[in-house]
Amino acid sequence: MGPISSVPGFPEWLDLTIAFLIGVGFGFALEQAGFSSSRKLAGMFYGYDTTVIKVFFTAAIVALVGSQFMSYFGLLDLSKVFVNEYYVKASIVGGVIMGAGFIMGGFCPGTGLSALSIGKIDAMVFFIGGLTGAFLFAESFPFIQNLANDSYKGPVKINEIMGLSTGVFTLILIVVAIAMFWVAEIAEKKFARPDITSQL
Amino acid sequence: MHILKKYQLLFIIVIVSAALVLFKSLTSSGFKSDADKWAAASFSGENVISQEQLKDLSGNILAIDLSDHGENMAKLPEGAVSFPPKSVMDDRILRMIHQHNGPVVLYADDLAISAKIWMLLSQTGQTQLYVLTDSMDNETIKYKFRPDTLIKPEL
Amino acid sequence: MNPRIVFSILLGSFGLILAFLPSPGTARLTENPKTLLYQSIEKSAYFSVDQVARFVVSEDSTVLLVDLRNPIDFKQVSIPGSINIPYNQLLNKETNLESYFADNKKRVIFYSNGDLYSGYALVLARGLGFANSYSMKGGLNEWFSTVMNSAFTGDRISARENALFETRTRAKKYFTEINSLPDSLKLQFAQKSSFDPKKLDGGCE
Repeated sequence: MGPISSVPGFPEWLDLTIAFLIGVGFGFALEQAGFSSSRKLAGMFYGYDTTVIKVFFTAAIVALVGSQFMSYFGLLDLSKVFVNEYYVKASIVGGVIMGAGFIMGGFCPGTGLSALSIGKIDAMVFFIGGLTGAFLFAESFPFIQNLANDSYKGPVKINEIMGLSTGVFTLILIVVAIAMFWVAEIAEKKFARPDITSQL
Repeated sequence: MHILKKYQLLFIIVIVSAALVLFKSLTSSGFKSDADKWAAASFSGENVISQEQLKDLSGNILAIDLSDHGENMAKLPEGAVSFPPKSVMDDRILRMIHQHNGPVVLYADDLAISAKIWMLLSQTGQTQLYVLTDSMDNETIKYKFRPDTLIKPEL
Repeated sequence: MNPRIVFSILLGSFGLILAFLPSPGTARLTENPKTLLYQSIEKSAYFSVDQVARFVVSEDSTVLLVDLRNPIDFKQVSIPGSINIPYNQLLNKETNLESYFADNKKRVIFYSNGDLYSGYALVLARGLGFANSYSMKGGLNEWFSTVMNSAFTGDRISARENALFETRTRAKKYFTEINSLPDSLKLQFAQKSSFDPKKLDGGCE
């Protein structure tokens, strides 16, 4: 029963090999989908290209549905799957910084690396900027420690807070996603920028 | 009809997975999901009753003597049945217990046996299930530990 | 075929199926009911207090004693080397029952004051697939009457009885020593003998 890395005696090299293969697949798919172009990513904010939100929302929902089916058939132990811990204030501050960096740089960390791999100069600068930021964060951590650890909520799940069963919450999220895909396609027509999209 | 034909493949995928889910839910082990909920009565101890409390139980009581040869039938009210502990999960007996309308009371010489069978039956979804005991203080410590005050901790 | 419609139909119908399923993560006994019944009531699912006494005096590292009573009783008196999981918290997520069975060579022996809680716990644990679960027959009451109050009455003692009484006497001495310690030291001892379940970590981006 998965996750396989928690099976006793599972060799670390195999764990790392699988992680490597998944990483290669992820990077390849990102690049193939055109995510290494910052104009495509920025299109999300201006509305002429909503591929980003469609891709990430689809990925999240497919994983959500898939993991629950696997759990039901006894293939995956969901209680062992990592749930990110929630620090309210740190999440808000971090989200704002990440969003600002995303729209200015035109990449999120993963797509930045994907663009770097095909030799984009702006991605190299973006990557150096990211490393500098990580370095500054580590060095200034004692000063922002209070903020970083403030209002800790533990690994919470939205459906648990709302008191819904996982399945019902999934259905609601799917309905929201379907509505959003529809809105996104309308937006793409309304804010169409053929001069940019033809070059992508 | 046009739509059905157009998305034929999709509908097949959905129907197959729905059938798989149905199959799985019908052929699962026989225990209910949410083991915690079905064990809840044992957390509070409300599932254990004495002979006096048995008399206060209302409804059509099915008393079960869990012994090989019905040794304890005398301790149970009239209409009690007896079968060996090992046979409780046999289809015929399990069906009889599930179909009984009213409290089901388990009795065995060994409280460990009745406790285990209580948990097993409860997890199959049986409600109004009780363990009958002669001594309500089974989980009470009967001995007092006297610390040896001469012992010096080694530091 | 418009991919949006394809995805909408697929995900929408899967979502509908999921909405009817029980929440994942709620525990469910997975063993076959008949097998579980046989396994839990047969003799090999029990350890006698004398067997446990032998494990205690030899500080057997392949055995983990789990005290199912409440923390107050546990603090007052417990078998040396045991850890405390109050019975009503056995299936809580925070308890992480699985972590105690991570080492599949370790036998986990449940005990309480009597036979009730250890019986329930044994069925739950074995039903959840932890085949290394056992219970101590008779519980602490039996432990007190057999091990703590052991006294030899008779004329001649056989070699076998001699060994048994020696184990009982040593277990009694050890039990008395540990439980007579002041609370703070007892706590230290308990912490030393418990272990931290390994937590899976991860994250992304």
